[in-house]
Amino acid sequence: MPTIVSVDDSTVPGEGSSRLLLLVSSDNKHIVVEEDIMSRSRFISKQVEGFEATSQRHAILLPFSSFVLNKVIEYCSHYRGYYLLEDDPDAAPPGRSPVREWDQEFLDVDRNMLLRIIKAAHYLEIKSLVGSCARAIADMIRGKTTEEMREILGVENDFTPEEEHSPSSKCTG
Amino acid sequence: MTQPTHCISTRNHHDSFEFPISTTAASNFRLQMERSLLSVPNEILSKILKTLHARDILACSATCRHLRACIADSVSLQYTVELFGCGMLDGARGMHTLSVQERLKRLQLYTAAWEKLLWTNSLELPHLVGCKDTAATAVSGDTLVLLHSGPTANVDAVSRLWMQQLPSELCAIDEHHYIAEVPCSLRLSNVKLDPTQELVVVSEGAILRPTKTHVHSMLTGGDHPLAAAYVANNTMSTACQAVARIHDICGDFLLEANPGPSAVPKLRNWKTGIVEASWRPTDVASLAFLDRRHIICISNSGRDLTIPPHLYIMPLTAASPSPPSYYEFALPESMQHSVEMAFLATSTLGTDLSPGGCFYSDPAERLISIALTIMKHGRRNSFLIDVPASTLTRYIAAHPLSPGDQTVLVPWSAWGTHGARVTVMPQQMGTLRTSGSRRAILHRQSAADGPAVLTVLDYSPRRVARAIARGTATVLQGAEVGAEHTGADFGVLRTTLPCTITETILPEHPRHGGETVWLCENGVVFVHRQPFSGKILDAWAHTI
Repeated sequence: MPTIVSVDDSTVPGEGSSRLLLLVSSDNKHIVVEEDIMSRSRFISKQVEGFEATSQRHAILLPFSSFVLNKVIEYCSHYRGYYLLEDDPDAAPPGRSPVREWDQEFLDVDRNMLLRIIKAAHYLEIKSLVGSCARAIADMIRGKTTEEMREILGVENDFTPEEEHSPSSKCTG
Repeated sequence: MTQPTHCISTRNHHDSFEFPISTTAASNFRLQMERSLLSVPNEILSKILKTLHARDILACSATCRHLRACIADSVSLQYTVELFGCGMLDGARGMHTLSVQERLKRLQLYTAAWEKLLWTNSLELPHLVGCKDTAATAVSGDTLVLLHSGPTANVDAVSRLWMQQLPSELCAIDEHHYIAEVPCSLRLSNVKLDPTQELVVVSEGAILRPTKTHVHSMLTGGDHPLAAAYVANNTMSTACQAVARIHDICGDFLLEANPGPSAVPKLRNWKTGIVEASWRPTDVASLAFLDRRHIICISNSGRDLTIPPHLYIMPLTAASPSPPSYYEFALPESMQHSVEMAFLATSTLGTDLSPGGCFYSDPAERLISIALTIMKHGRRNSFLIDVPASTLTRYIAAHPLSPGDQTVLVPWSAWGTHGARVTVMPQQMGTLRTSGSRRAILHRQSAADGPAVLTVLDYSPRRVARAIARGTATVLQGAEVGAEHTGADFGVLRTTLPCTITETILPEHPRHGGETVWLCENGVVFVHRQPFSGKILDAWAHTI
């Protein structure tokens, strides 16, 4: 249970109409970020709605490190004010939209980092970032053999010999 | 804490906040953050997999149990894999009238029916029975056309085209047939279908008489409003007494040729009746469009066993004063002698339409098949050479004809050993039919009166990949075609185009001999004729 902390608005040096949020990462780093940057995250938006209802603001505790959080904030501030189709809950589910150029550069990180980002994005409910990460991971395994995929995905072959050679019943219809 | 222009600021510590994250929860979370993709929620996993190609999804499902289960649980991933297995592509989005679940079910039925030849819908075609003197037959898409010739002596003879739409439960196509009457004074001799344009082209003619070609609309049964029935002059030698034959249709053009040593392949616009191009006389056995810019033709239909057959590819170029150049693709040396029969077929592009118009077969999977029957040491050997059209077009693109060239000879080693596949056919090869990337061969098991066996070869790379992954159908890899079938002569013909083979013994019918088989998109049509008279005794269709 997050501890309720009242935040005095006057102590926060707000810019314009945007208010600040305090995010706390799993490694106990405090990150202050403008509210409208994080509005891309459904999770944060819901929290903010909760603040409005109770007129109490508190720090938002997040279960991932500041390193990952900063990366997510970097993403959100890059697309601040942009409309991204994937984030629109009313829009039709997007097809295989190409990875945006900036995203490609942004996600040019190692696999572990990519997995952390996608989990963080999933937790924060940022659909566009989840989508971009998913495409980036898919790009890594595209066209690879099963053995190479195990290596890349970090999974172990846990099939019994019979299972490995017999096709899975459901998969093959 | 004053960074007015920056939106992000980090502080390491702030006294007025407490951090109630328990250390155990944090370490648990860290444990979860294993360096494995499996640590991400299934939701994300299926999101990742959805952006992959079916081939990658299949490879993924072989990595571990968790991923396999995840793929098996997702209907849309299953659908992707199934589409891949059928060699189809999904149609335009928003056109589907069926749910993914429903489409998946239909696709699985389709695959199962073709793999095990478990025909779910067997239809007798009794109204065909008793048709006398039927000459040519053509099947394309889901339509079967039969010619009912009138008596040749009767000047006012009216000949009929019998068009049979083959039903399909899967594609919600009803059984339907109609008869179109062709006013003609001579005997109808050959028929060709183009279902994409809904055309039927039929020729009438007699020995040493001009050929008249009619273009019919399949929709109305009458003459096509745009087409002019035209009369082609038969410039035949007395050695060859046959009627000009339509070999292929593509767009506004027909490819036609008179059979015989001096036959001239012609490209004719069927809307105007004008010959747009013709090539030097060749002994044309079969002629077809390779793509929209080249035609492919095989010479020597087996009259002269001393002349080896040739495979020609001729570019369609604007008329120029110099005689047009062409490519000559050499057949393997050991096959260049004693050829009794040479026959070429291109697999027609299919349109597998389901009720919502949602999946299509892949036009990229076009194959050229060359059937050869060779008489050697008193033994008859039948071979089928299948080569993807892309192998030939790639060679042509890499070796353009220069203006001075007359013939570019392409040795077998340049094209055959990479993309072509030689299949040794059963000795008593009955009928060979092609549809898409499937080949059907009807032959008799062991003795002449043994049960009829239908062998279906499938060269679709997707279905082969699928069959390998599933381990269901027999997959014949290129390397397995070896000395065992071919003897030392053909030892070099091992190539790399695998296919799946299924053999089905036909249900016993009370008569023997005279069966013919046609492959169509959704099944197989058998027609049983009386030998010699050609009278249809029995006709049935197995569709899915």
